Amino acid sequence: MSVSGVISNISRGSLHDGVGVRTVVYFKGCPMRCKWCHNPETFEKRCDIMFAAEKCIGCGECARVCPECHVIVDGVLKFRREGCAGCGRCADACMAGALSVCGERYTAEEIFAKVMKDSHYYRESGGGVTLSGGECLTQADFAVAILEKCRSEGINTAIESAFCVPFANVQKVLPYTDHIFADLKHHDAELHKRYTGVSNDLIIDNLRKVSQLHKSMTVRIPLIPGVNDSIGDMSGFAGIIRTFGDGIKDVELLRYNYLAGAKYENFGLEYVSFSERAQSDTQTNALTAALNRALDGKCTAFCR
Amino acid sequence: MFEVLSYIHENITNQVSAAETAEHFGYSKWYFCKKFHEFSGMTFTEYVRRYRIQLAAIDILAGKKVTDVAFDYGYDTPGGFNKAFLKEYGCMPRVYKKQAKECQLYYERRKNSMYKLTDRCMMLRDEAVNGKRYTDKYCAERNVYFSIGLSEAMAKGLTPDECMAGGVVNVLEKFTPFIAPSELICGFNFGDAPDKGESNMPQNDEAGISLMRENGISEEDIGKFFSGICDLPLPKTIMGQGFTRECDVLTLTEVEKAAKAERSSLGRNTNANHTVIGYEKVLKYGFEGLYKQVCEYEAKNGSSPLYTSAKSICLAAMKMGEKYAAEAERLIAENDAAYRRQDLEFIAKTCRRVPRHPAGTFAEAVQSLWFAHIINTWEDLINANSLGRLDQILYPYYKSDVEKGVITREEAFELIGCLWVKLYRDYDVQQSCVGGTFPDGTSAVNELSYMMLDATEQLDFIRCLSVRFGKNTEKEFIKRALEVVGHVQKGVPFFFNDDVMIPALIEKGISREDAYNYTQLGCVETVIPGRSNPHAVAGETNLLKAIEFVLNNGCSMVGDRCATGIPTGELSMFDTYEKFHEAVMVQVDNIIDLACSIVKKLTDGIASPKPYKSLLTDGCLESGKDFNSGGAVYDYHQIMLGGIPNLADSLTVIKKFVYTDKKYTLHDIKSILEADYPDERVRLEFLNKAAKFGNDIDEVDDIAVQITEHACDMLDALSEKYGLSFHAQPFTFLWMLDYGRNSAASPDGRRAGEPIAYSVSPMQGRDFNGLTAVLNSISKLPTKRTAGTTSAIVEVDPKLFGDRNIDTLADILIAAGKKGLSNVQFNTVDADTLRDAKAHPEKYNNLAVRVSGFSQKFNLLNSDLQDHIIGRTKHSCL
Repeated sequence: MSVSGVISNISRGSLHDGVGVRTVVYFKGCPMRCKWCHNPETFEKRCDIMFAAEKCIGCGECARVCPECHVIVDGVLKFRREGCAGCGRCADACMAGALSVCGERYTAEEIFAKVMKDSHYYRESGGGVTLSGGECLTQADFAVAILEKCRSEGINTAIESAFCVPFANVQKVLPYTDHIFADLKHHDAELHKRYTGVSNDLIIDNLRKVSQLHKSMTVRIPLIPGVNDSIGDMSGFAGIIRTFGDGIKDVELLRYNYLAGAKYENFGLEYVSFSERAQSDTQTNALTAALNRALDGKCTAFCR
Repeated sequence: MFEVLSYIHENITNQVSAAETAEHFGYSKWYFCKKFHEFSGMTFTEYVRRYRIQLAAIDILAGKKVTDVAFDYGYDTPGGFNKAFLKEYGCMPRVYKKQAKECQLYYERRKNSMYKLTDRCMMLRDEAVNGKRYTDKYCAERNVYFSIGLSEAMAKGLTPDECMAGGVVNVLEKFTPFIAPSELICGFNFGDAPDKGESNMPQNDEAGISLMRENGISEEDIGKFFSGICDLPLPKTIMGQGFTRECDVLTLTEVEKAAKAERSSLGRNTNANHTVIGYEKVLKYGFEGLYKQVCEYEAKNGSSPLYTSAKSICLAAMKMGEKYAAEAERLIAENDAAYRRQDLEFIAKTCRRVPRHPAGTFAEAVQSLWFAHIINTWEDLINANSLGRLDQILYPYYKSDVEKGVITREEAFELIGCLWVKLYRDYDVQQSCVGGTFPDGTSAVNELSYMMLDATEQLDFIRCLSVRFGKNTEKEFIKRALEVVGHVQKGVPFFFNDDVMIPALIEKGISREDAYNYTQLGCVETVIPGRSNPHAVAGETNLLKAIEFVLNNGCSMVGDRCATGIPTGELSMFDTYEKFHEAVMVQVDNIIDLACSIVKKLTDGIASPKPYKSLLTDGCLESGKDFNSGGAVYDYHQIMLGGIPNLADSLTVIKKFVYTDKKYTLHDIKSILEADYPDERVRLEFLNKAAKFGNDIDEVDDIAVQITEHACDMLDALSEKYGLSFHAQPFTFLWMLDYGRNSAASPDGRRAGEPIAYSVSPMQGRDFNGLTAVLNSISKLPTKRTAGTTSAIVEVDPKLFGDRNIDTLADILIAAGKKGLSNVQFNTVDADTLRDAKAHPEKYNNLAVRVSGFSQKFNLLNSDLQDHIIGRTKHSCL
């Protein structure tokens, strides 16, 4: 029996998630609820219905197949999410592409076949597959199955994880992973819990262990305006990162994604905007410099 | 403390220690170490170690042996050195050396050719782009003198060849040798003043006459112009199509006329201004040498109008340089400013030699080439008269000059800048090409290839420059070219793949050596420079019409509903998809046949001699036949295949909904399309619920491949039928708008009248699986059969071309090339900017985009074209 898992999306031709050209597989399901998350569709593991109101033409086909959750009001669908089981019949009926299913179950072989479509680009660039999410380590066996297959074809493998999972899950993927992107959201345990819903104890503990076992890791810090993007925060992060093992090669600062809000609407979720724009070059330069100083040669920080 | 640092730096190869240094500066060791740490953030020993290793790394890169370097920097054992190196650089010295090598090479190359363009070039650029004073100044000269020369020759009853030559010779004799301030390379086309519209074709009214007077044309010539010109079939003659008889004198059938009117099939007499001729012959022999060559052929083959014409042009062209030299000398006598005197002396010296004599130096080569190009544009105007592989043509002169010390690299770079400015036009399809592959398989990239990219980058204007690349092209060259795309943001340069184009040309009977020398003219049309008449964009087809013709049993579904297709039977006959597909292919065949048939009639029925092109195209003098009468070594016609992406999308919809799901019948589809999608739901269903070309989905991509294969087969068959060589060219120029306007709604969800896809790019807005998927789809097409280039524009987010991505982008291009990508052009402006530019044109004067096979200022495009480009998917790096 083949291992299967639920993913929200596969995106091809990524240049920023590891060496060379990458195909990124987004796993569904995440134990964290970061308020700024730009992939809210991956919060839940179950299939979700995504509704893009701007595409809706109010034709009512969805209400015909599923009147329980769909009502047309003033020419536009009013989608009642509560009670929706994510069966996807409405998405099938929606011609305009306003309703769509997010989350599909695939076997590792199926994912592998999709990934292989760009194999010639990997060969040329040293690229490969990056498992992301959501939290790809919540479906660790599925992740292992994909990574193992890619490895056997000589394709570079990477994962991006927040490591908020039991260490046993982490251990499973390590032998098949060439590079690890480890997300670190906040250095302060209290604030970490407030903004992500979970404490950072487990995460830091995991990272400490992994960074002693694995040789090639990048810590990624999403810079959230007013939450973790001060010079002082950089010292806080550095203080933690300095306790990690030698596996940490660099730290990448990610600018705030101010466009994440649109997706929340599509999933009927509320979004808190932290700013109308991303950090400026001046800001990120200063932060990178501060972080580098504080890291004291442990590894280098950069920002694209 | 800085003194301390320099002391350390000076003594780095000795065993410098903290105690010694402290003593040297008169501090205690403890105090010194504390202060040093405060200042530098690290301990003394650490600093010395790091500094040493960094110096050592530089020496390693410079080629020194690792063991020697270790010893030089005071390491007793290589082991100790390796350990220290590993700590600093994260790898062993040898690995570092290997990794750094490619990177280093790339930067050195770049540094090598990173000369800044001089102020002179920047001033000239400003004049060409914004001032345009000198292009206006004598703008009517070419048209007036050409017409007079032509009509006088006609009045004498001379042959068509001699009349055309008469036109060219009269311009050569009468033109004003105007040298603009700051110039080093001189000569104006005098045929083009874009801002003046038609006014450089003077009308017999007050405005026309005053324009001619302003242009310094004599009263006598003004008189002649208006008396002679009335006898000519105007304005076609003047516009360079000398002795073209329009289609109406040809025996076009009713169907052909109708097809032409609705643009499903069209033939064009591209006998003018679309080629690359052998300018290098002018450089090599000079017009004096060429004159002798013509005489030899004449002696051998007997006299003919072609030889007479070619000789008269050579004789007049010999004096071209001398006119400029005399003007330069006159200015020297008038002008005592020392800085300008030097320039003018330079011009005088150069022009005394070329183009009469062979070019002896790089400067003479550039000047001679520009003169040779001007004469070409005087024969039949500028348009797509292109220049070919300039880096290859000019390299021997450059190399010899640099070796002999005649010229510095900086001076050569300035001359390239000057030539680039001369070529500037708002609408530029005078293509030149850099890079490529030699027949022995090695890369042809040279220093000039880099310099030409650099000049394009620094001048920051639209220069129609293409790059040939292949599996043996240095990656750093491809990277440099992509960098220029990212920096200039005007869709230049654009890329052609040798590994596809060369086999495609050989397949078409072009010799191996000549195929390796291919280049492009105008937009993306393939040409063998100096040896071919490519009849670019000779035939046009809109293959999407095939669907209409099948659904309506041979008739169009828009306009006069002409029977331009052929009856393929009642819809009820198509009970399987295969039968339907077959009927569509019958219509495709018919569309292509009609275009080729019109092309054949034009070819047979029209004499349009081009004596200057014949002089500089191999085969013509040898055979005594004109360039446009089959004289060239290679004479072929490029037939454009439009609508392939839409046709593939449409067939996929029909296959799914009619034959697989059986949700609609063909009759339903027909009435839906006839009524232009009365129910929006159905349109969206067709649009969203079936696969679309451009997403790397085999189901639909395979159909696109089948259509293209089929069309290529048909063109091969028609080559036999009509005795011409047809090259397939899946390219639409910007006529995707016209094709769309003349097509009914199509099953792919396209409404009636909407534009179809550009060339083989996916239909705008329908590719959403990322850059690699688009390139995969396009690369699946049988590009090795389309010798006329399978053109594609890919729209990308400008951030994708960020410096950090260039390396991977180059990998993508190389990988796609190996998969069979033929041509790709990048647009790097985001949709928001384009929308804003549409609303506020005044803010975006220098904004340019890739429109079709050419780049154009966005503000100069009409609203339909602007919308079409905004609608194309922008691929980002995620």
